[in-house]
Amino acid sequence: MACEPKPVSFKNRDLDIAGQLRLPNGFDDKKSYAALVIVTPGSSVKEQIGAVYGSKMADRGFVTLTFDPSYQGESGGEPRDLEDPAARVEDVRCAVDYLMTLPYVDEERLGVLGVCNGGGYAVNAAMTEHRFKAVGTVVAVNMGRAWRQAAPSADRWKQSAGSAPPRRVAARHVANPGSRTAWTKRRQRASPTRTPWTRSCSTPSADPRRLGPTDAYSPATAC
Amino acid sequence: MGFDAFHLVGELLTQPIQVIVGRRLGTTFSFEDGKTLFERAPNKKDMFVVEGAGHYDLYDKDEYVDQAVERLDGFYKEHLS
Repeated sequence: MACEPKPVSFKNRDLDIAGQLRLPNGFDDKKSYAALVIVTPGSSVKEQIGAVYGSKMADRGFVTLTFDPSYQGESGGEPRDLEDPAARVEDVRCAVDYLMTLPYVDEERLGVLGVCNGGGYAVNAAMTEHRFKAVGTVVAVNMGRAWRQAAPSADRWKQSAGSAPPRRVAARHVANPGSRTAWTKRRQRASPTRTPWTRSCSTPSADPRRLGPTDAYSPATAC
Repeated sequence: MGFDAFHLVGELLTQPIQVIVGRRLGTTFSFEDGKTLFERAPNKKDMFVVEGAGHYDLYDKDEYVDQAVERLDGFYKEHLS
C-alpha cells in the first residue's frame, strides 16, 4: 500500500481547498515523479472515490493529489455543498498549481484522472490546461447534460428563473444590509399570498436598490 | 444548467485520452457520456469497457476498479514517461 495520505491545502481564489497527497512506496524526495490530479464525483468527499483511485495509482508509482471541491467537504466556501461547475474546473487548475510547487513532481509528467462528474471537469479543464499531458476518465459524466436531462424541457426555463430571486435577494442584502427585511415586508404587504421574491407586473420597479441585470431572469419582467 | 463539460472537446482537447466506462447501463448515463466523449476526442484515444460493471461498481469495488487502474497505469506510463 502507498504511504498514508498527507493532508495539504491550497487556494482557489480566496477559498481554502483541502487535499490529500499520496506518495509512492519507497518515495525519495531527491527523485522526480509523474503526478496525477484525481477529480472526484459530485456529492463525494476525498476520502471516498478520490482515496480509492489516489491510493491505487500511488501504488503504481505516481504522486497523487485529490481534494474536496470548493464549497464541499473540508474545503471552504459558502453556500455549503454547492456544485458549481466553474469552481470545480478552476479547482483542477489550482491543484496543478499546487503540484508545481513540489520539487519532486516532474512538471512535464502530469496527468489528470476524473471519475463521474470529475471526469467531465477533468476533460473541461484539460482543454485549456496544457500542463496536463494525459487525460483519463472513469465513468465520466457531463454534469450539464445530467442536469438538463433531469429537468423536462418545459421546466428548464422555470428552473433557471427560479435561481434568480434568491440570488437577487442575497445581492441586495450584501449591497445594503438590512434592506432585505424591509423589502420583503413591503412585498408581503403588497401581496400577502405571493412568495416574497416574486415581482408582479404592477410592482413599481423604481426601487433604487434594484439590480437591473439580475431581473432579466425574473419571470415577471417578461410581462 | 448551461454547462457542457464536453463543449469544444473536438477543437481544443489536444492530449491523449483514456475513456473507461462500465458495460452495464444505468441512470447516470455514464456509458453514453463516455461514448460521446470518445467520439468527439480528436487525437489519440482509447475506450475501455469494464465488462459486468455498473457506474457505481467503478467507484470502489476492487473487482472492477482494479481493471480500470491496470488500464490507466499503462496509459499514464506510456504518456507520462
